[in-house]
Amino acid sequence: MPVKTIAILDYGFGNIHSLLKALNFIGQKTIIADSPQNIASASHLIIPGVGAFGDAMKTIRNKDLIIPIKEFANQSKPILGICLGMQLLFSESEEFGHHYGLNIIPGRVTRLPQPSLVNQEPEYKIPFIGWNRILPSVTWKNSILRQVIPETSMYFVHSYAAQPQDKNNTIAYASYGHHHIPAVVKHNNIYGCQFHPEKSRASGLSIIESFAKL
Amino acid sequence: MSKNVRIIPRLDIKSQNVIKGVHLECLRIVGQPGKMAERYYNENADEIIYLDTVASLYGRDNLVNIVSIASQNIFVPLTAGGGVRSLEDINKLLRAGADKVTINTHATKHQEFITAAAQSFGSQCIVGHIEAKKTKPDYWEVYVENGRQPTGLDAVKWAKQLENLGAGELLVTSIDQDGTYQGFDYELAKKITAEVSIPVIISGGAGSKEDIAKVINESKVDAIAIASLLHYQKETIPQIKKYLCL
Repeated sequence: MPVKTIAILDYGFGNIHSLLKALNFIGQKTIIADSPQNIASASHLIIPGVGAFGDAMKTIRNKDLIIPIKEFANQSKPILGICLGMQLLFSESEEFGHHYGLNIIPGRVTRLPQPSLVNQEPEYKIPFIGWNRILPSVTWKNSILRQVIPETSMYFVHSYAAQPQDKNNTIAYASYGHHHIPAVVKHNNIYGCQFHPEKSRASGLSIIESFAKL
Repeated sequence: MSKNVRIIPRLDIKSQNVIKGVHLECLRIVGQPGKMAERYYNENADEIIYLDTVASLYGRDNLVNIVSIASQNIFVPLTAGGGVRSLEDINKLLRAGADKVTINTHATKHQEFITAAAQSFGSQCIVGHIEAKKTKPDYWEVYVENGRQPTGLDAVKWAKQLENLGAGELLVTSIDQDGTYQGFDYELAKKITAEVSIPVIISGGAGSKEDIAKVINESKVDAIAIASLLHYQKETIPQIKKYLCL
């Protein structure tokens, strides 16, 4: 059995360095992937990302990385999208116009719902920056969340959120006021985390560790 | 209290040490950056802020090295700043493992730098740092160079301007309250958080858990940066969070 190698997709969006440090900490062999060849050579793929959906997709397209990522998914090799990287897995986004995504998980990316006012203060700000608890939508025992205790706080930074077409794709959610926002999605071997596991203490690292063991 | 406010230890760096003063002056060594950050991480800090107070004297690589070491063992967001004046400076800090970078002096002289930084790295990692001093009733002036140089800018208006330029968050330090344990500048916190819609971290003056509760109740702050109160171990992060029901 070949050694597992995690590829971090490097397409110029997002801080790959924090992620790299987290993978080093858990002792995982990691490569930085910026070409179709080194994506294909890995056993696992992490798609990081911060920034705008449209710009990110454009860059991935210009670097000819769409087909290699889709092939990776078709071979049932595990993929983890983080933050914007999670959103890119979906079919389309409404961020600054309309943009098509990788379409690996059917669904749309929409702006966080307008917060209600409580005592004349919005319940949350957009962008949302900070910690929020994640709760199970369905059982997460057999997923990359298996080591996470329900209601553990994770670190989120976002203005948009993914809405899977199939509600069963959401395995964890976070509450924003009275809204439930998908926090972790799962579609076969494809996962997406809206929060940053690499910045969410030991519980966050356990998610990356569980992903690496898939 | 249901508000989900972040508790952030603030480590001011001079050379190889964490230092702390009063009104950003009379600096004393309080510990070692790596060890202190690790202690705060183990105490469940929500983020860590490193500010190199004399970056221009010692060169910015000092901060880069400190961040680089800290980020190997600390898995909460790291914010770093002090003397940042080019996209390359930001890039170096991000590569070292910082998640956000604060910009102060350089932004007051070159406003377009905030926009360029936000476009290159995303607004979420650009924190506008405002050091404000109350110079007359209901008026706060922006100071730079670690509280030494007045700029003539109105801190409340500057906050809005930083938001418009593309900053994703603000760190607001009250020079008057810094290191005094006399409580926050509540008026300043109220004014700035009413003016902007981006998250605001308030800094300067925390003397007790009650002060922290007060600033959360009286303004729309999103995060509290704390130095002396934690550095001198008058309070711990778990004690503060318990008191605030966080």
